[in-house]
Amino acid sequence: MSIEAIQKNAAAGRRAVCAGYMPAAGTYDEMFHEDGTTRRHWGPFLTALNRMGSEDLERRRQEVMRILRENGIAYNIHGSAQGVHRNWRLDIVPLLFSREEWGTLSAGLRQRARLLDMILADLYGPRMLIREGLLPMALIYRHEGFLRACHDLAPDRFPRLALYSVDLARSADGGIQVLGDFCQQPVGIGYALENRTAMARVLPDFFRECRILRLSDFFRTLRAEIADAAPRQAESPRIVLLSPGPRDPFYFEQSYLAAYLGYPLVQGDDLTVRDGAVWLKSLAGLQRVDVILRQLDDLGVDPLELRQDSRIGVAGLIEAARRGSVSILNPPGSGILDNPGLMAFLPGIAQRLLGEPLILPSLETWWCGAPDSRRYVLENIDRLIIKHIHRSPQHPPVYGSLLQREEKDMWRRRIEAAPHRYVGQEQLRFSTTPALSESHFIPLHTIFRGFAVARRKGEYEAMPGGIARSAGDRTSDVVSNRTGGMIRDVWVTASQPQKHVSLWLQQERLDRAFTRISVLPSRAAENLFWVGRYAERTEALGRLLRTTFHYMIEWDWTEEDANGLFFKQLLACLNALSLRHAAAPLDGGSLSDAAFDAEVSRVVHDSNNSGSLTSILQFMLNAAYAVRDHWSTDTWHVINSLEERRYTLEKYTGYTARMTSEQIDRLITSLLAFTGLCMESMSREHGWLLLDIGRRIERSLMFIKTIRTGLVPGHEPPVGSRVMEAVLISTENVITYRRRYRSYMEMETVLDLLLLDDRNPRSLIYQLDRLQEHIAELPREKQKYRLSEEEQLMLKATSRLRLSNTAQLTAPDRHSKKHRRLDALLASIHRLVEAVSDAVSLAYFSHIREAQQTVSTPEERTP
Amino acid sequence: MNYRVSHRTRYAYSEPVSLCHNELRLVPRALPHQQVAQVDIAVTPPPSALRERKDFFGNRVCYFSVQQPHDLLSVTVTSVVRVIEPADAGSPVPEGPAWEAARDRFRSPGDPDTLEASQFVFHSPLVSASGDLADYAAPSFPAGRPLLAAARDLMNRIFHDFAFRPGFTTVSTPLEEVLKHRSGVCQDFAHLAIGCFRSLGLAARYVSGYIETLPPPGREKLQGADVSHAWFAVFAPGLGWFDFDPTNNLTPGGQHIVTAWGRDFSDVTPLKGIIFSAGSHRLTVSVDVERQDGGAGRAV
Repeated sequence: MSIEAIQKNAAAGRRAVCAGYMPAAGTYDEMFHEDGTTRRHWGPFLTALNRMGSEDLERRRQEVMRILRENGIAYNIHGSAQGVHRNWRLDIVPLLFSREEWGTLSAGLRQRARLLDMILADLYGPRMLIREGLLPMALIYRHEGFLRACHDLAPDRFPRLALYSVDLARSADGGIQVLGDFCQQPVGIGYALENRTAMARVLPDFFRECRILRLSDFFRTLRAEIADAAPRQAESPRIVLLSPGPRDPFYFEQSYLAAYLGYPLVQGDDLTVRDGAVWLKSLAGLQRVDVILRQLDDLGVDPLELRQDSRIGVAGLIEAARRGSVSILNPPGSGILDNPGLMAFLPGIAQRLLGEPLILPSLETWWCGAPDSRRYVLENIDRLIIKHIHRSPQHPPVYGSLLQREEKDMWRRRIEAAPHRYVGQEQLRFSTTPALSESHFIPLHTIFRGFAVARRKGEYEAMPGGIARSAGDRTSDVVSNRTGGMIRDVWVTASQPQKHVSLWLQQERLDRAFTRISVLPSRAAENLFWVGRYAERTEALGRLLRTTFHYMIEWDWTEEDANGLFFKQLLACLNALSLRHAAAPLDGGSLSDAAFDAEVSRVVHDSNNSGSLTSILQFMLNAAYAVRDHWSTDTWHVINSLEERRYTLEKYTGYTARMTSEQIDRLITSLLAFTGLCMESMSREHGWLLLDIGRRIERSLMFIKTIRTGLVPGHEPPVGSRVMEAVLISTENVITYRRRYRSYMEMETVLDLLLLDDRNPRSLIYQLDRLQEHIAELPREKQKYRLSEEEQLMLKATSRLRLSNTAQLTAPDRHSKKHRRLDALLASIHRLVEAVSDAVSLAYFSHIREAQQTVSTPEERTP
Repeated sequence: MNYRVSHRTRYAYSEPVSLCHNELRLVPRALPHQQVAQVDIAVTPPPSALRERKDFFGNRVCYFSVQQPHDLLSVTVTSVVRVIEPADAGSPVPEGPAWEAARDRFRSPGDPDTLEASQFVFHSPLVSASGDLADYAAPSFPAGRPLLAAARDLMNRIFHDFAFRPGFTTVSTPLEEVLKHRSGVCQDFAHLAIGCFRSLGLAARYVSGYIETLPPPGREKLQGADVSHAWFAVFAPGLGWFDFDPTNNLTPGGQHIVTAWGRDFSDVTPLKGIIFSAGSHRLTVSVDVERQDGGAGRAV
C-alpha cells in the first residue's frame, strides 16, 4: 500500500472513530498534527482500526478486558471475587513510536542506564563524583537510600544495574524528557509483558499490518543475562525471584514474571544463608542459589546489616553477596539512583564519565540543597512540583499550582528547614494520546515507562515497548498509577515486516529443564499439602451438607422419625466435620425446624468458625494462591470458579435449603474438576505427591469422623438405616453399595465397603494404601534397615485396619447399642493418621522460625 | 604502653538456636598512636564462614555464623595493643580555627579531608541536630573561640552538668530525655556532645573502645571489672581529628584504646546478630583491660 493510500484510508477512517476529536490547543498530540492530519506512523493502525466495525471493536475490547480479568484472578492472592485490584484499564489503542524516533529514544535509554550504572559503581566504590564536586555529598550521604553496608559490595561485578526503568513524557514542543528513574525495584516489566500478550491475542492482524517490533528478543536477553549473572560457572544456575509475599501490592506482577521466566517465586524465609552462600529450602534438602532477582526494598533485604526489623529479607544475604557467592539483581543500594536530586547533576556527570551529552534530557530539576536552586524553588513554588529526594508513598509529589497560600508557606518553611531533602521540578504539559471512550476518541495526557536490561560489558538493551499511562479523565494532567486511569501497550513500528517469534521462552538445553524438576521449595510443598487437605475437607463437608439438604427437601420424616433423631444425627456429623461444638442439645428434646436451619447455615457460612464450609474453602484458595505457579491455565479457571462459589455462598445468607443445595452442588462439581485436573495435568513430581498426601490424609480423617459420629451410636431402624444410607451417599459409596447389596442396609456390609474394600477408591483402606505408597516415594536419606517414622506409622495403620474383622466390629455389645470396638479401632487409626501428618510436616516443611535480633548493647552500656 | 584487652560476650538461650548470623566490631583499629600486635577471636560453638573486612568507616568487622543448634554462644575477643603516648605530650595543645571559620569550611570544603569529614556534620540515625542542643552548646561557643578550646569547654560542662547513672537510659532513649534529666552513661554523653556540634554545623563522630580502670586503693583489681567505653572526636579543618572523653573530662592519651568509629553508636555496635529461635536470650558481658608493663591507670 502506498503512503498516499494509507493516508487516504486514514483520512476516511477519521470520519468514524476520530470524529470530533480535538486535542487541547498548545498540547502535543501523539496521533495527529496540529492541522488535524494523522502522523505518519499511525497510518496503518488507524486503517486497521477503522476497518473494524463497531461491533468487532467492542468485542475485542471486551476480550482484552476478559483476559486481564482472568489473569488478575489467576494471580490474585486475597481471594476477592474481583481479582487483583486494578484501578486502571488497558486501552485497546496503544502508544506508537516511529522507528526513527524509537532509535533516538532507545539510544537515550541505553545511555542513561549505562550512566546510572557507572554512578552506582562509583557511589559504592571510590566516590570520585563526590570528591570532584560533581555530586554534592549531602545529596547522597543524607539520602536514606545510600546504604553504607553496601560499600564495596562485589565491586568487580559489572554491570551492577541489571534492570533499569524510567518514566518519560513528551512536552508541548514535541521533545521527550525523563520524569524519573526507577532502579531499586524496576516495576512494570511483568505488566508490559501481560499487556503485550493480551494485545497480541486480541489484535493479531494489527501486529502484522503495523509491523510492530516484538518483545521476545528483549525477554530472551533478559533471561540470558540473569543466568549470566551467576557468580559460579554452574552448569545450570539456580535463579529465584524473591518477593515480599502475597501482601505486596506488586505480588501479581512478581508471580506473573516468575511463572513466565520459569524461576521459583520465593519469600525471604524460603532462603537461608549457610557457609556464606544462599540456599533454597526445598523438599529434597538445601539447594544452592546463584542469582536472586529481588523485588524487595533495598532496606528490607537483610535484617543483619540493613533494616533490623525486616521480616521479608534473608539474614546474612549482604555478606553472601559481598563474598561473591550470589548475585542480587538489582544490587541492594540501587535505590540511591532513584533520588530525583541526581537529575540536576546528570549532564555534568555524563560529560565527565561518558564524554558526551545526555541524549534524553531530564525534567528540569532544582535541588534545594544548593543555595541558588533553593532560592529559585522558593520563589517559583507556584509552578513547580516539589518532591522529596526519597521517593516513597509517605512523600507524594506536591503540585505548587494546586496549593493554597498557607500551604505554600508551609512548604516553604519545610524546604528551608531541611533543604537537602527537596527538589523542585518543572511541571510539564504532557502530550495527549487518543483513548477510546465508547466508540470515539478522547485525548488523554500520557506518560510512558521504558525498560532496559544490562548486556555484557556495560551495554544495555532497551525493551522496544513499555507501558503508557494516562490520567483517568481528560481534564487531568496528573498521571499516577495510584490515582487510577488508563494504561496502554507501547508499540514501535518497524519498516520491515516482523517475523513472529513466540514470547514463549525455550529452554536452552534439555538437561537444564530436567534439573529443575526436583526443586520444590518447602513452603510450596507445605502449601500444596494444605491445598490437598482443605480441598478434601471442603468436599467431604460439601457432600454431607448436600446430603442433609437432600433429606430436608425430599424426605417427609415426621412419620418415620417423629423426634427428629435422624436430623440430629446428621447435625452431629456436620458439627464433627466442621469442628463445631454443637450449640443446640442433641440428646432429648426436639429441634425446631428454624433452629435446625440456623445450625446448618452456620456450618455453611459462619465466618467466625474456621471450620465452616466457606472458611475451609477460603483456606484452600489461600494455599492455592500461594503456589500459583503450580497450576495450569485450566486449573486456574476452576480455582476462579471456586472463588466465585465461595463468594456467592458467603454473600447470600438468605437462601432456602434448595437454593443453598444447588450452590453446594456447583461447588462440588468445581471441586471435582479441580481434583480431576490435578490428577490429569500435574506431573508426578514432589508437588503432586504432597498434594495427594494431604488429600489422602484428610479423606481418611473425614471418613473416620463421619463413621464414628454417624455409625458408632448404632441407631435402631428405621433411623439407623437412614443414617447408613446418608453416610453412603455423603461418602459417594451409595451406588456401589446398591449394586452390590441391593438396598438392604446392614452394618457389616456397609463397613466392608467403607473400610476394607481396597478396590473402592472411596474406602478407608484405599486412602491408607495410597498414603503408604506416596510416603515411600518422598525423598529422604534412607537408613537401610529402618523405616522412617511416618512409614512405621502407616504400616501400623494399614495392618490394624486389614487385621480387623467387620463381623467382630459390629457384634452386639452386652452393655450398649454402641459399636465400641469399631470406635476404638477408628480412634486408633485417626491418631495414627494425624501422627503421620505431623511427621511429614516435621520432616519436610520449613518450620519458619521468626528471626530475632540480638544486640550486645543495653546491658553492656557502661561508662 | 601495652594493653591486653579481652572482651567476653555470652548469650544464653532459653530454647536452642538453630542458626545465627553475627557481626562483630571488637577488634581495635590500627592508628598512628595505636598498634595492634595480636588479635584472637574465640567463638563457641565453632563458627562457620568467619571473615574479616573493613566497613564504610574503615573499622574492622568480623562476620560469622553458627550453624549447629546451640543454647549458648560465647564470643571472646582478645587483643594486645600498644598505645603510644603522643610525642608532643606536654606541649601546648592546638586550638584550631575559630569555630565559625570551621563551620564555613564544612559548608564548602576545599580540601579532601574536610570534605570527607563533612559527612559527620549530617544527622545520623541516633543523633540529630536540634535547637535545644544548639542552646545547650551556646555558652561554650562564644564568637571567635577556637574550635578545640570550645570542644574542651563543652566536654568540661557535660562532665559537671550530667550525672553518670547506669541503667537510667537505654540505647533508644532520645537525646532530649538525656538533656532534660541531665543523666546518662558514656554513650549518651558522647551522643550529646556530637549533637551539640552538629547543631552548630560542625563535624563530630562517635568513638568506641576501652579505657583502663584501676581498683580502689588497697584492693586487688577484679576480673571482668572493666568496661567498653565511648567518647567523641571533633574535626578541626587543617589539623585533623581530636578526641574528647566527656565521661572523664579528659582528652584521651595513653589509656584509651580505640576500637571503631562512626556517625553514632548504630554504626559501631560491638556485636549484633540475628538468631533463629522461638525463645528468649540472656546476655552477659565482661571486659578486662590489663596493663602489660606496670604503671598507673585512671579511675572512672
